[in-house]
Amino acid sequence: MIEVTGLTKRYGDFTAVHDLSFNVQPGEVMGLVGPNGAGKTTALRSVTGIIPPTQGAVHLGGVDLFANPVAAKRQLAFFPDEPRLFEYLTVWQHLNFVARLYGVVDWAERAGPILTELEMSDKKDLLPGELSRGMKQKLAIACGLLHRPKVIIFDEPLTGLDPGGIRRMKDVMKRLARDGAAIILSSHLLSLLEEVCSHVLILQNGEKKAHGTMLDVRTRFSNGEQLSLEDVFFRATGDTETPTTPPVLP
Amino acid sequence: MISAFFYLQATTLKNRLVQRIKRLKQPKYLFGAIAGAFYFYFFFFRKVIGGVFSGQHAPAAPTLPVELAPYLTSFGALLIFVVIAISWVLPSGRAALQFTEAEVAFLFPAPITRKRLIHFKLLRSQITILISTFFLSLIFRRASYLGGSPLMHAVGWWVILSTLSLHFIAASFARERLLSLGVHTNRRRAIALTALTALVCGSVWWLRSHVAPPSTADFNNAETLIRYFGNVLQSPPVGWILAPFALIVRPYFAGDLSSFSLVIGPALAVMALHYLWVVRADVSFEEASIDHARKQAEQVAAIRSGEWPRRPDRPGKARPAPFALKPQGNIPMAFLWKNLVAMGPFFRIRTWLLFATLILGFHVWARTTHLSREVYGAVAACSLGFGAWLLVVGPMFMRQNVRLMVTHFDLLKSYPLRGWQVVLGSLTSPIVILAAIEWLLLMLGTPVFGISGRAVAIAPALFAFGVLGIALILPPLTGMMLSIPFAATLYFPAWVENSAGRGGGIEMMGQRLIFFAGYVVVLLVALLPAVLCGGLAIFALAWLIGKAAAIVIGAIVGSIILSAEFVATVWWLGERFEHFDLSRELPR
Repeated sequence: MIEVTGLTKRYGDFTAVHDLSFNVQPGEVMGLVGPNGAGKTTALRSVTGIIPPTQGAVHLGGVDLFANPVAAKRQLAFFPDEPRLFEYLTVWQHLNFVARLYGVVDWAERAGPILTELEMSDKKDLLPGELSRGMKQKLAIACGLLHRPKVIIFDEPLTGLDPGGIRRMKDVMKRLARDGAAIILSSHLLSLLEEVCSHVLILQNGEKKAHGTMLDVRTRFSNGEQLSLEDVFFRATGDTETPTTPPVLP
Repeated sequence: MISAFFYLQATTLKNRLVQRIKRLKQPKYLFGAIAGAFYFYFFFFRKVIGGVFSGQHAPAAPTLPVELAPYLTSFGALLIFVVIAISWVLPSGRAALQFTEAEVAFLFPAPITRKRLIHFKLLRSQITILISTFFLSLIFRRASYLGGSPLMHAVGWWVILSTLSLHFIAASFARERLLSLGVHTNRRRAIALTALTALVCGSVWWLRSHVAPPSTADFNNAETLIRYFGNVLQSPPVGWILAPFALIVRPYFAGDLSSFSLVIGPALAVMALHYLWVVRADVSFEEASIDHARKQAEQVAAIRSGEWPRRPDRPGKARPAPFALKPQGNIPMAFLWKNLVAMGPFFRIRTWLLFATLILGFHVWARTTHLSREVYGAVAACSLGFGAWLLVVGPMFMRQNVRLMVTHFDLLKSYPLRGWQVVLGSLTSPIVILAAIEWLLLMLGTPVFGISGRAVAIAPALFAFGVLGIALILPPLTGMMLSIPFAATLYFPAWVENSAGRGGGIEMMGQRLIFFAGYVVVLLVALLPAVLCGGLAIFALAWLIGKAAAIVIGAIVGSIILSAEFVATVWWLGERFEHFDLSRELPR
């Protein structure tokens, strides 16, 4: 469903992403993890067609993203870390606008149940300024799901959410995977990835350090002991896993 | 895609209008809207509307001879040439189309081609251009010296603005392409500047041998000047260089319909060529656009939170303290110390002393070298004029700092300080800085009158005492003026916070007008007792101790009264600060 082959992105002499390849099949949730500056955002933006890569190919649902971007993007939903909404469009008008962008003819029939599921039916006529952070996030999700995407990419989806919102977001991701979507989930929250993801890809300095199912990756970095994803992450990136002694306050 | 664009724009416009109308229920917006509407009516629409209702047209602007049109066109072409040249030399950023963060989030991952994204941007820029065209047509209505209908002028403005907008985008694409070919910013600038220098030098060299220098008669009036320099601009090779740029401005300067119909075609053709240049450029603009959208969003957020202008994100160097701050002592001095550290080494006593010495040196030099009275007088006029302007407008600049202070109210209220200490501490730094600048400007400006003979009928001693009197009054006067925006913040916090840029529109403009009017009224009321008592002191004592001494005593009396008013104001504002309920006054 998501096929990335030899993806490279360079900025002058600096290589942000180097020769990255991976696949995500329907029903799989791949966690993308790496230290700050590892190239996660650049990789995600390239995979979503937001920025052109320097080299490599991306196929979404079998469609070449760079040869046929419009057809490829029709299958895609991208959820950035912050819900960025139009200040003067109501909830319902956001959905209407997205329907036009994606050509969803029966959008009104689809939008009703989505809003009901997200407990937003009574918020249809509100502007984003009248919504809480969690409600804005829900609206972004509703917009992303309206065209029934087969490829879904989340970038730090839990930022700023309260416990209820976090649980709801996890449920949404799990349900989408069950329904057959191929999902990439980028987050620093390793516990979230452990809970939701079937696969993981660890990126450092733009290069793939580990990739596979959770079990495969754990086994690869284990010396026989039971490892958490956090342990795997520190071993894969060569970063210190022993926390420093906290400073003693006067 | 186009239908989605129109849906977005139309719905946004409708919802924005509805929001604006709804908020007129609040008096601060209603009064602001009335004041703003009055301003627009008075300055822009009065004559138009009045002419429609009375059946009379507004009096026509004085018309220049129609022969001047080609010359004015050449001046316009020169201006366009300069603007376009700058767009190739100065910018260092990457090619970015201006999108909002929401547009980036919704449009960039959407099934839309890059060409359509460019069209989206071009269509949206047309909204801004049409609004600008409307206002420029209104503003320059009276300057339509060459005749022509308002519609023709409006079309002329639209062609100029649209072509420039397209050129800026195309130039940024071309710069990006050069960058990808290894031509970095400095090299590109060097090439552009070399080409420009060659053009200018070559043109000047040619003109010197082929065009006569201006005679005295050419400086007789504006018309003769326009004719001479217009001829220069039309002479080859300058005329050839400016020819493509002249095509863009010709519709604006067309005097009648027939000449307009002759020039509009070529102008539209230039615009169409620019359009093709933009849409056919295969340049990556996405990343820079995303970055631009993020910065714009941060800027808007900073303005709304009262934290604009933002400090640069990168850490600066540690700045030396202006003086040693003891752990105990005067609280307002601690605020002054903190603010002077933040403002850097320029705001130090030694810097002010250096400036004072330089000013003294200037006066000594001017007198010993017998600097011409005109130049000396111009220096005086500029420094005193700037001083007067600063005295009036300086405290208005403070409004931004006051807004910032509002965002720190919770922290300030957590300090173990009395309200008056916080108020005085917040006001001390701007008073010190403004008063110091005003003193320096006074020092630069007033001694000039001693030799220029302009201080008519005032003896030098009397004049000096008068200046001393003004210098005495300046600090408490500045303090009083600064306390007005502070008081507005404490008593009308919603107004002040609101004018921090949420939404804009004529109601916000009206609020600023109302604030300025209130500022002037309060200032006049505050000044009245000081002026009356100081004036009475001068009047009563002049015959007894002489005018010079009476002026000083009058100034001292005025200064004491203003200082007393300032002390009372600080105490009063301090009380208000202590009882200021953040949760009620500034709910978030």
